[in-house]
Amino acid sequence: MKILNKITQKDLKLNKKRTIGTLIGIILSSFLIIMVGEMFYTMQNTMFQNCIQEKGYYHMELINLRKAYADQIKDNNNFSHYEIVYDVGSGESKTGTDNIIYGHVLSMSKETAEYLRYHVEEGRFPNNSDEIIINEDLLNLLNLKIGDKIELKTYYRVDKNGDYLSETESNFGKKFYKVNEKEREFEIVGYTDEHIDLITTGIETDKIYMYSALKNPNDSSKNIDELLGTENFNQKNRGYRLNINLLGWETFQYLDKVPTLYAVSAIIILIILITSIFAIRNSFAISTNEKVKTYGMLSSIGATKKQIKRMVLYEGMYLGVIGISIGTILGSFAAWILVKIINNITTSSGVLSNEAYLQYKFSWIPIIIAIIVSLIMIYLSVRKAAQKASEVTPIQNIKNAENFDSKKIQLDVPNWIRKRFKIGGVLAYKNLKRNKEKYKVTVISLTISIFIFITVSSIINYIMEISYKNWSNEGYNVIVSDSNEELNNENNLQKLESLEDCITEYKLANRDTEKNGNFVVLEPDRALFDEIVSTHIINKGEDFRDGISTTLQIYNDNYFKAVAKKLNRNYDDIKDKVIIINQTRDITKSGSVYRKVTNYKEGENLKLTDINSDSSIDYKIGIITNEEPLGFEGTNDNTLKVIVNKDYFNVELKPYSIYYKTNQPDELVENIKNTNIEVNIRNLNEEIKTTQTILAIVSICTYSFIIIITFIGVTSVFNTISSNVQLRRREFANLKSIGMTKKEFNHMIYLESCFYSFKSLIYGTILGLICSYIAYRIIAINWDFGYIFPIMPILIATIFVISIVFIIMKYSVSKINKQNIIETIRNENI
Amino acid sequence: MEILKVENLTKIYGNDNNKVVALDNVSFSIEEGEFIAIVGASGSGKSTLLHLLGGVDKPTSGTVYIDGKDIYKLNDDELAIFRRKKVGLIYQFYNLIPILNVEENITLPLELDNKKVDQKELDELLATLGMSERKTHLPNELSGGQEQRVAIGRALITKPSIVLADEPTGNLDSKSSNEIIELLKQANKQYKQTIIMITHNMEIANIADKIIQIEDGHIVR
Repeated sequence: MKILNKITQKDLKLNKKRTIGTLIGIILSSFLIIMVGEMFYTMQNTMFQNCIQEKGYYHMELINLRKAYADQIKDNNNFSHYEIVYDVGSGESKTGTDNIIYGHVLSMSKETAEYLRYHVEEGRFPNNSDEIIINEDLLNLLNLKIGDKIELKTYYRVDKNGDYLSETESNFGKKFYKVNEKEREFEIVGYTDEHIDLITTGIETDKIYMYSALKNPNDSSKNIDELLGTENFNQKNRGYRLNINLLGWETFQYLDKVPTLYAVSAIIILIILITSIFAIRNSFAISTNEKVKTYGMLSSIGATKKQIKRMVLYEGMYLGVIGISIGTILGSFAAWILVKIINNITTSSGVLSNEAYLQYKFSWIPIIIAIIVSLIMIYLSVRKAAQKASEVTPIQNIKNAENFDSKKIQLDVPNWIRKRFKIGGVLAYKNLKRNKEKYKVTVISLTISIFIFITVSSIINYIMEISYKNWSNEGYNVIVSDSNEELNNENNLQKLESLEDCITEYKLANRDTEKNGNFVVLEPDRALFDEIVSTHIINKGEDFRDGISTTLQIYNDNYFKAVAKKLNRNYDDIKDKVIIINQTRDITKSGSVYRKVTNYKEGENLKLTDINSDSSIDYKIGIITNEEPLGFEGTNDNTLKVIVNKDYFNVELKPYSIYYKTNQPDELVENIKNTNIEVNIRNLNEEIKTTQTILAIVSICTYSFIIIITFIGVTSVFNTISSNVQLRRREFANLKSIGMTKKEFNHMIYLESCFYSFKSLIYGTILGLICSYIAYRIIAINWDFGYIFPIMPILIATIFVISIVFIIMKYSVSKINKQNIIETIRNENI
Repeated sequence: MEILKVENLTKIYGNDNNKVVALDNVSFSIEEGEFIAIVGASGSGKSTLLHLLGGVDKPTSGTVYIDGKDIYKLNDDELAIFRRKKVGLIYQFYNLIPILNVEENITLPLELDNKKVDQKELDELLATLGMSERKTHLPNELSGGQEQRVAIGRALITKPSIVLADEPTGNLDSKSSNEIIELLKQANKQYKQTIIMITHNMEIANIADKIIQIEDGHIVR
C-alpha cells in the first residue's frame, strides 16, 4: 500500500492546480465553520459579560429573608459567592405638588454596590448611614440636588401574619400593615441613573436580599429547597428571582434569544456544509475522471478494488488533514481580526456604547466540531469518487471511452438554438447534456451564491428602508422635548426658538388630557368604519354622544408655512384651517392594511367639540392628506388626526416639543445644552449614524460570508470547467483540424458558458426573489414599507456570474489554443 | 490538372544538438484525381509530410500549393476555412466528435461553413458508406470500422480538392481494413477524388495509382 500512497502523493504534486483547488475548498469550509463557531462563542461571551456589567455576577436573588434564615443558608455548598443587601423599608416623601412618591431604601456596603454594578452618575457613594444616593429622575421630580437633605419615613409592609409582603407574587386585594415606622433624614451625596430608588450604607435590618452566584449555574433549574438544603423556603412570603439574562447567556437556557442564535449559526453552518460538500465532492470526482488511465492501469496489473478505493480515501484524508489544519488556524485568527474590526468601527464612530463592544472568546469547542464535521464531510465527498475509481476496468484505460447517456445526447437540439447559434450552439447545447452531472455541481454552486446574495441584499435594503423611514422628518433632525415645564417659560422658549429654523409643537395646558385632548368630531356618519367611532361623555356626564376619535396636534405658524411650501399651496389659504391625516394603519398577520378614516373633503367644515365643556371650534378643512406632510409621526391608532395652528386655536396651550432643521446638528445640540435649559434632546443624525454603523457591521459580516461561500463555489466551478476543457482537448483539436476557426471555437465556448451560467442565474434569481419576498412579508408585518424589488443585486449577480464563468472558460481554453493541433491529437491518441 | 504542388518542403524539430530533420527539401506534385500512397518505415517522415500538406502543422521552410493557393501564406483563420472547404482529413484513430451522431459528424464541415446540407447527396453518401441504418448512432455505439467509415464520410462531404488519410486502416482488423480501402478506391473512382494515403502496408499501397517512398525525410521513389 505504501507504493499506492506514494503514487497518490506524486500525482498531487504533479497536478498542482487541481490539488490547490481542492485544498482551497477544504481550507475555506473549515475556516468558515471555525469563524462562525468562534463568533458564536464571542457573541455569547459578549452578552454574558454585558449582563455582568449591567447587574453583577449573581444567579439568584433571594428575597424577604430574615437575618437568621439568611445566616442559615449563606454558607451553602452550592454558592460560590453571595452579597447581602438590607431593605431599610419603603420610603415616603412629599413632592412639590403634594403627590406621594414611594421608593425602597436599600443599605449596602460600597463593595456590594460595586459588585452589583450600581453606578454613581455624579457625586459619591454614601460613607455612613446619614448619607444617601438617589435615582436621577426622583431627584428632578423632588426638585432636589446634591447636598440637599431629604426627609423620609420608612416602614415595612407586612401581612396579617407579620410576614413581609411578597415581592414575587401579586398582593392585589391583600390587606397589609405598616410596621417599624421611622423618620429618617439623609444628605444627598450623589445620584444614579439606575432603576433603583435610594441607597445608603451602614444600616443592618432584618429584611435581607441575598444575591448568590452558583458554583454550577445549571443548578438554577433545581428545586429551591434542594439547592439550599432547606425544607420550607417558599413559606413566609420568601421568594427568589433568577437572573434570567445572565443564566441564559451562561447556560444557553431560559432565553428565547439563545435558540435564535443557535438557529442562525446552524443555518449558516448548513449553507457552508452544502456548498463545501459540493465543491469537495466535485474536486474528487474530477480527480477520479482525470486518473481513469492510472486506475485502469493499476487494475490491469493486479490492484484490487479495495486498494484503489483506499488510494482515493487516502488522497482525501491527506488533503483533509492539511486543509483542515490551515483552515482552523486561519479561521481562529480571522475571528479575532473580525472582532477587532467590528470594535474599531463601533468605537471610532463613537456612536455605540461599551455594551456593543464585542469581547472575543476563544473556545476549543468550535475547533473540535469543525475538525469532526470537516472530516465527515470529506469522507462523504470522497466516498463516491472512491467507489467510481475502484470500478474503472482495464479496458476503459485502453479504449479511453467516455461513458455518457446516449439518450440525452440524442435529444433534439431546440430549433431556435440551431437557427440562432448554428453548429457552435448545437455543440455547446449537447455538451451540457453530456456533462449534466458535472455541470450540475457548477450550477448548484453558483445558484447558492446567487440566491444568498439576493436574499441578504434585500434584507439589508429593508433594514435601511425601515431605519430611514423612522427618520423621515423632512430634514428636521434635532428634536427637543420637555418634561419639566421648562418651555413654559417664555424666555426659555424664545431662547431655544432663536437658535435655528424650527417648528414648535404645543399641547393642551391641562395635564390630564394628554395629547389626545378632549376634542372630538361629533359627526359619526362621516366615519368610514366603525372602530373610530366611540361614545363620549359630554359636559361632565350630562350627555352621551357618538363621535369620531381624534388625535389633535397643535403647531405654531412655522409648521403651516413649511407645509404650504412642501405641498405647493398658498400659506394664507391654509394658515387658519385644519390639516387632516385621513388614513390609519392596522397591523395584521398578513401585513399592514390602510384605511381611509372619513369622507371629508377639502373646503368642508369641521367642528371640533371639547367634550368637557361642550364648546366647539369651527374650522374649514385646508388640506386632506394620507400622511403627515412633514413626516413627524405615523398614523396607526384608528383616529382622525387633526392638525391645527396654535394661533387659531383659542385654548390654553403649552409648548411641548421643538423640531429643528439644521446642517450642524452636533453644534446645535451643544448650543442647546449651553442654554442650561433642562430639556430632552434627540439628535436624529446620531441615531442614523448608529444604525448606519450597525448596518455597516452587519453588511461586512454578511457580505464577507457571501464572498467566501462564493469563492468556494467559484473554486468548484474553476475545477469543473478547466478539467472538462482539459479532458476535451482532443475533441477541440479535432474541430480545429476539420476547419473550425479560432473565432468560431471561442464562440462555441462562450455559448457553453452562457447556457449554464444563465441556468444558475435563473434558478438563483427565482430562489432569491422568493426568499426576498418571504423576508419582506415577515419584516413588513411591523413596519410600513413597500416591497423593494432587488434589481441591483440581480444585476450584480448576473454580471458576476457571466464574467466569472467566461473568464474561467477563456483561461482554460487559452491554454489549448496555444497548443499545436496535431501535437494534441497525437498526444491524446497515445 | 495539378492539384497539389510541394516545393522544397522542410520540417525540423528541436534545435542545435537535439535537431531532428523530419523532412528535407521535399518537392513533388500531384494531378487531380490521383490516388497516391506514401510509404516508408516508422520515423521516415511520412506522417509529417501528410500533416504539412493538410495545413495542420507548420513547415520550417518551403511551400505547399493546393488548387494553386500557397496555403502557408494564409493566416490561421483563412487556413482553417481553406481546410474545411478544400481538405478532407482521415486519422488512424478516427477522431470523431463523441457528442455528435453519424449524420452530424459527417455534415460537420458543411455546418461550420454555414452551408445547407443536400439531404439527397447525404443519403447517397451514407448508403455508399453502408451507414444508412446507423445514421443516428453515436460514435461510442459503433465499431472501429464503422467509425472510420464515418470519418471518411466527413472527409468527402465537402468534395474537397484533396483527401489526406493517415494510416486509415492502422487500427482495424483485416476485414474492416479491406472495406475501408474499397471505400477510398470507390471515392477515387466515383467522385474523381484526389487521395493521398499513408500506409506501412505495401499490399494496401499497391492499390494506389502512384507510390511515393520516403526515407529519412527524403523522397526516394
